[in-house]
Amino acid sequence: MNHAARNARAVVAAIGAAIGALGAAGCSDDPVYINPENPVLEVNAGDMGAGEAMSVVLLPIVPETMDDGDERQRVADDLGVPLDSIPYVKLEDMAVSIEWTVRNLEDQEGIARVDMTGANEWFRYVPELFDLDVEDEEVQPPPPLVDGPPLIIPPNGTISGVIREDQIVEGAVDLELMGRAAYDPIVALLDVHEDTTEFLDMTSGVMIPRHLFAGFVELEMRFSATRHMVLEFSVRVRDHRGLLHDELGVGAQPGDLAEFAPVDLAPPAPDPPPA
Amino acid sequence: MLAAALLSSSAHAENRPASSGVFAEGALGGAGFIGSAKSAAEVGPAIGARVGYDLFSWLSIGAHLTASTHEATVPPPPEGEYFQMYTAIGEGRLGFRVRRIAVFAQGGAGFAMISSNVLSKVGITEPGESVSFAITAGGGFEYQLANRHYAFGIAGEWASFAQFENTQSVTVNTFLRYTY
Repeated sequence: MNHAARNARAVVAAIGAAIGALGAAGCSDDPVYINPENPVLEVNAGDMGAGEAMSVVLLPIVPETMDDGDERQRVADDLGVPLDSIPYVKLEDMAVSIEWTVRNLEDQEGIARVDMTGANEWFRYVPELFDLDVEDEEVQPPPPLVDGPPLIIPPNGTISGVIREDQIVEGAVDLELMGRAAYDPIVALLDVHEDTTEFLDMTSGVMIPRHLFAGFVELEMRFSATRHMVLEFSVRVRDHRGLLHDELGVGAQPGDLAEFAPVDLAPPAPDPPPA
Repeated sequence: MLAAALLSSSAHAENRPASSGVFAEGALGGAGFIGSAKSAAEVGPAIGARVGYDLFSWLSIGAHLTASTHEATVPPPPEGEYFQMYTAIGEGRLGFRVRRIAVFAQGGAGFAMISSNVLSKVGITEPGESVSFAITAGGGFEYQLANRHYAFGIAGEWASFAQFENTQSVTVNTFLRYTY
């Protein structure tokens, strides 16, 4: 067989192998788009319209299997902590990003902000609960977990953007530090924790490694603007562990989805006055 | 026009010998959606591989794998996202040869898989739905090289995906065929 013949056969074989590899590799980490129940947020509609709106998205996660529970128990035993200290939904189980589009419905320029906060299976962060003096406008609550910059939207204009996977990972780590590590929100949110490898769990007294950090189970989109505007968003998830419901929760019956009951993080109670 | 020009060449008008039997093809081209799905995705590159057997000089059977990638152009969000379409088709091919040129028509049925549900925003896929029954039909021209084992050509193929709201696509590609 001559050189050209060998090359041609190799090309044909390579194309066939490439198709097979594409199919296999593509399936393993294909993104899934979750269309929220309330994907549209509108602000300043009419004279009495509110300038802020928010929407909560519960990630449609299947209940834990017995194998998952046994694995969690094994990890807990290795670390010497209670089972409840090991999250079911971990930071690296899913890569989440949120794609959004803002439309300015007025013929004047406006400013908008797109922020995100959320909850893991234990704690929910509500910035307003940390507003130490609601009456004093100079004292602002701490920022949300993902704090978007002010966006200038042109008259009748449209801007699209994304809350990236790494931003959501950072938010999840900040939530863990505020929750299990009892960090002050300002301390947690102002620092970048992409290199944080562990934290001290104040409940168990054990150092929790990064691969056991909890991931989000609930996302809250927050939208505010100075004009009549509409925000549309969708949640994109790369589900590395197969945690998402096959039909993304559509038509799910009781028991088809995992139920979490995160507690709102609250500031510590003030010290009692001296006697 | 290409076929007519080649047929009219008078330098060597005799039929070229061509192998018959097991064959393999590799193809490169482009695929796009037509009909109601046309606005949901851009035309994208496509690759294909086919193996088959010439039962007779005019009839072949085989299996065909394809993969194509497309940018989803659904109303944002999302925006700038891509998805892949994979097909696995069992097919038959009818054809005839005139000197160096072969003309063929082919059709088949099988399955298609889409890599993500990004098209669910426009109702093309349902939650949890990523696989569809597919039918294909197409044809093309093939030019036999001096080496009896090799031919190359150009082909077009229409496909319909039942579970994807009967979405239809068209693929055009060039291919290289080796017959053992």
